[in-house]
Amino acid sequence: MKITIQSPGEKTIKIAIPTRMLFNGLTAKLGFASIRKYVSTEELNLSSADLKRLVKEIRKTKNKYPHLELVNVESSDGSKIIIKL
Amino acid sequence: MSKSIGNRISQLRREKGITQEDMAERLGVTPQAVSKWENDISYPDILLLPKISKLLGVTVDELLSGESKKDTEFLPEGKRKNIDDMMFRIYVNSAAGDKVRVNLPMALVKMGLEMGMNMPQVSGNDALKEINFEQLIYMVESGLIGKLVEVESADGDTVEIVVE
Repeated sequence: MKITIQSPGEKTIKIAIPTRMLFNGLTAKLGFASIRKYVSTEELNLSSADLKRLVKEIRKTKNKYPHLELVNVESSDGSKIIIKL
Repeated sequence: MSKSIGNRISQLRREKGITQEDMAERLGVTPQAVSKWENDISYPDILLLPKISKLLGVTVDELLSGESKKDTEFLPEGKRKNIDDMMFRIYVNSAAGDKVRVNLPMALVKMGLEMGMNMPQVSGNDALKEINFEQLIYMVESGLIGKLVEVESADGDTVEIVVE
């Protein structure tokens, strides 16, 4: 996954994180623990198995659509944030 | 008889109120070259097609085929793509000039919805709160593709949802 942050007049920041490192069983567990801590089950009823399934699907997506631009935000002042898988 | 690419360039250029000179300058070619394209004496270089289509506000496909892409299309059963091979795109343009583009494979969207996630959590836009995403998935499964949602809020923000 690549995150690019561009601001006019400032250096472009590029962060590359291996997708496997970001989305794996361990991060799914950690993510689940964080969600449980900050979000009530009424707001989001997510199980650990659901999160694992999501992680698996994200990895599948990465293989199917390498470098897919997930999010592209352009603000009126010229700042840009791009998140690529 | 269908129109030639030259006719289409000429027509679209006039509709946009651009002169041949302006167009030539923006494309980095001579006005004579533009005149030749429009009179079907020569064709634009293939590498110029994306620039020309952008300038004329159409897609390269529309420029070449002359068929404007329908906003929404219903596909019969035999022509439908597998929903897991489709892409769910959200375009948010705020009145202040901010633009947000979200591209998500349908498989992920479906899974997220099954898990009870809401799209405003993904896109961060409140205009999406009232949209029934399960209904949208049902529409896509029934063969409807293209621009499925176009919302303009009171403060001028626009939200479009396109499934391709």
